[in-house]
Amino acid sequence: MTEAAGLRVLIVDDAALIRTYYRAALEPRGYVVDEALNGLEGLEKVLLQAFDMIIVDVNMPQMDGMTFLKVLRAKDLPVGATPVLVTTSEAGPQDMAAARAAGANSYLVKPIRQDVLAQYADMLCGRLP
Amino acid sequence: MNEFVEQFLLECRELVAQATDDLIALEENPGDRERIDSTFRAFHTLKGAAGIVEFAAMGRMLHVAEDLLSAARASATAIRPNVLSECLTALDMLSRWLDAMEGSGEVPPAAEAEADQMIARLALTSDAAPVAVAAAVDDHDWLETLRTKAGAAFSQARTAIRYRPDTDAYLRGEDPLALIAGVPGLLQIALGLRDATASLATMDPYASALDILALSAAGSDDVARALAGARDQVALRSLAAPAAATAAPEMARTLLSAQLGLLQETSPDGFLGRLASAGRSAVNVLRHVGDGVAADTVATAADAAIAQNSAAPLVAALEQALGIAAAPPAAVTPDAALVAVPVVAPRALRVDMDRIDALVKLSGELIVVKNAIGHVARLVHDGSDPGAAAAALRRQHALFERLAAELQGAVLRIRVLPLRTVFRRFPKLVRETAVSVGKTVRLLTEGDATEADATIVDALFEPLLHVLRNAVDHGIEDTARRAEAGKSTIGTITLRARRDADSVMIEIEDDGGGIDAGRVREVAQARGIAGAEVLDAMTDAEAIDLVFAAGFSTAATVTNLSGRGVGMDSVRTAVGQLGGQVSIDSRPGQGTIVRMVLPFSLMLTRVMTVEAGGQSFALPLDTIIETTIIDRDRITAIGAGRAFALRDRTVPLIDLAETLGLAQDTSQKPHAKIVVMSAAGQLGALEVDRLGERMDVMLKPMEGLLGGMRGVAGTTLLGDGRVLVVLDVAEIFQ
Amino acid sequence: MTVTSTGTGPIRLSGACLADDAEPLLQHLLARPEADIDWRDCEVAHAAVIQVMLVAQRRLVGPPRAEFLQRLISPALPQRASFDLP
Repeated sequence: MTEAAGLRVLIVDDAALIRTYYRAALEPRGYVVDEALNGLEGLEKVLLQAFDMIIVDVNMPQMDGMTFLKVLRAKDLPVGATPVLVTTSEAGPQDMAAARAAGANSYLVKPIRQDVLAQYADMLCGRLP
Repeated sequence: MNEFVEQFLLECRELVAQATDDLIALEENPGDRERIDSTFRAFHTLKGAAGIVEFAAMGRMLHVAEDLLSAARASATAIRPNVLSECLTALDMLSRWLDAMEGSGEVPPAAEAEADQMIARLALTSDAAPVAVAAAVDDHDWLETLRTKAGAAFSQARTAIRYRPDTDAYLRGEDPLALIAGVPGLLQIALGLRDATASLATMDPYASALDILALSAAGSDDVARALAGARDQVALRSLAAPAAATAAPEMARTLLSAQLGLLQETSPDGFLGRLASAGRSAVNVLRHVGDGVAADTVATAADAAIAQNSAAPLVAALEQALGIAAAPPAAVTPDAALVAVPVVAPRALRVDMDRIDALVKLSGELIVVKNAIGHVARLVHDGSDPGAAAAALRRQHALFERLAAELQGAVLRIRVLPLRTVFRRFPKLVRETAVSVGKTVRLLTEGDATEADATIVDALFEPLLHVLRNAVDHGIEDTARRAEAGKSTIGTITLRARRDADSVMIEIEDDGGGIDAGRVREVAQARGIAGAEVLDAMTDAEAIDLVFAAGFSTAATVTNLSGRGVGMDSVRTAVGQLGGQVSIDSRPGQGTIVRMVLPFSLMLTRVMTVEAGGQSFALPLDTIIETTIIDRDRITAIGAGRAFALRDRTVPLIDLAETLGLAQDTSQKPHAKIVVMSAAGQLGALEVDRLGERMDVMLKPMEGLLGGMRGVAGTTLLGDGRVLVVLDVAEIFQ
Repeated sequence: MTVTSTGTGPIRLSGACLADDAEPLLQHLLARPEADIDWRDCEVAHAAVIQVMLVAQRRLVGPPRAEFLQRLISPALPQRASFDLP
């Protein structure tokens, strides 16, 4: 495996432990990780710089993940086209449908294993094998 | 236990303290929405933290508490005191667990049992009305829902089932679950309700409201048979994937189909962003799994989709990458799929074990011959009688020759499949097609045990389907006209196959009205396919053959079935790409026979294309030594010909354009592009205008007038319908 | 009688529960909002019966007798908290 040098991932989650956990899954593989505490902060970061992928939680204060996603998809390309992985504790089909309607490229139910998260990142960022 | 425990303990204590404050404040003022929100969020975050340190009991307990808080949040009434007190008890329990973990670094062993007790207490406080009713299944997501529910079982599944019984199914005496129970190879069932708001108080127990999803390890044909009694209420998806995605790991498939699902969303908000992100994600997934070709195809389709502001091109490309085929009795696939399908060998072959055993046996015999030859070599080396050694060597050579021939035969047989694998899909398709145009047609198949190369068998489905649809749609007359002509009102189509030496013959015969040659002439003239004089000079058979011409369609009215602007020309192209031919024979009033002659085995030739005199030609790659560019002043005249020096050797040089009678003066150019070739043991060189690409082609011998043309080995049909001439190098240098 | 409700214990499903049993099951469930459903003796359950159970979301006492119900239907029924008895 080559290093994912330079691939940038933004983690949007209000739980510090979760952010640390995701970071620990991605950084050893060469990803450059940035964090935001909620959807609003996430949008600010996304508009300032390009990311190869965004991992976003659903339930967050100030701006939740679904609203974040809807606003992101309405942005001009290429910002609006950024691959997004939605992570949440809710596993019902209606939750999945809501994430999809908002424009999620993939959906993972917490708890998420670190190796699984890394594999999803590899795929959604197109990290070369 | 795990590197995150320290941070886990720290954050959990903060969250427990905060949630405790909130709950106590709520006891004072149960209507405080902000406090309820804050409590809910704290429980939610705690649950997420439990997952990270793999503390399952904690996660379970908090999940139940979170459900209670979520219901309270959604309810207009104030949160009930017993909910508050039980949540506080849960937090106390959690604090004790955290203390125990701080000491040992491990999840406390008693936590499982304590969590169960706490869950039972929490459950008792909940309202009578259930928190979450079985959700209505989203139309586009049912496959995805199954994938999520089934987990690992999904990879074993070959067919996905969605069965929505009619509302009056119970009243008709049907038991949809009994029907489902009869499906072979059931792996998983998921039950949903059409109406997510259904409740005991309002439901009608005699009206079916079920939405049943299921996965089966059996093929879609078998599943369809088991569910035949309810076919109009059932949708099937075949999950067996013939294309690239079989090689791609399961996760890649999941992600690709997720993009497909995203594209089926109809909400207008952020459409372009969703479209572009689905394209980008899919391309990334394909790149990551190393399928650059599919990635490029999808990337092109995504660009087209964005440009057209329509998901359709991307959807088609993704479906192709996934190899998703809607299985019967779902809707028929559009004919557009027939256009320019490249000859792609399937990546995986189904092989009879006996054939593998034969190979193993042959390889064993080859090892014996190898050892025997080694023995002879030692004898010669040791100076034994040369005559005896030669005799031994001859014996082994004869044996080796026989084994090599057998090996070649055995390897070819591995690539062979019976035509049954494609024929068996047609009876149902023909029946359904007939019903949709109001006719009754039966399909007879003969010789479906006939074998052919697996690539050919797989590639025959589309062209055969097209011919069969044409037969149903245009060949078989409607019932009234058949009765008038004194025929049985049931139309008959016969699909037969047989082996003939190195060819496989397939015939599709219908007992319909035949083709009206006069009408074909009219249409051909109207469509500009040929002029009146040419058409008049044609025999009826030649005129009828024009149905294979590009842009021809005899249907007076365009029907849904075969009138999508793709005519029989696509059948001829598809068969031609397999190295075969197709012809048509029709008798007015009696019917039509379409004949296909296909090679038994598909042998691809590797070629390089070159341009000379403004035309493209192909040279067999195994005759090419090298390509080079030389200064024209290195070329010298020798007698009537020309030659140049290549590393101390003089190589005769021929101008390809001139030799083929496409004369053009090249002497003005300062450099010459040269292909150095080996022909009949000699080196020779061709001067060409341009060097092209390398490709695998099906070589077809020249026929008719061109058959005797010197220097031509055969032709091959390109994906765009052009004919490429493959040159016979040895003849050119003679 | 394949649906029985004795007043205190769980509502019991036994033997073959057919389409006609859906209505009595529904009535019992409406009459006793807290009652669990014991389907350990259930051998066959018609879709109409399963549909009522799906809407009810009561606690289920299992496992049911039939392999089909146990392996494929039981996991498909969302239950608030259910338990299987040995």
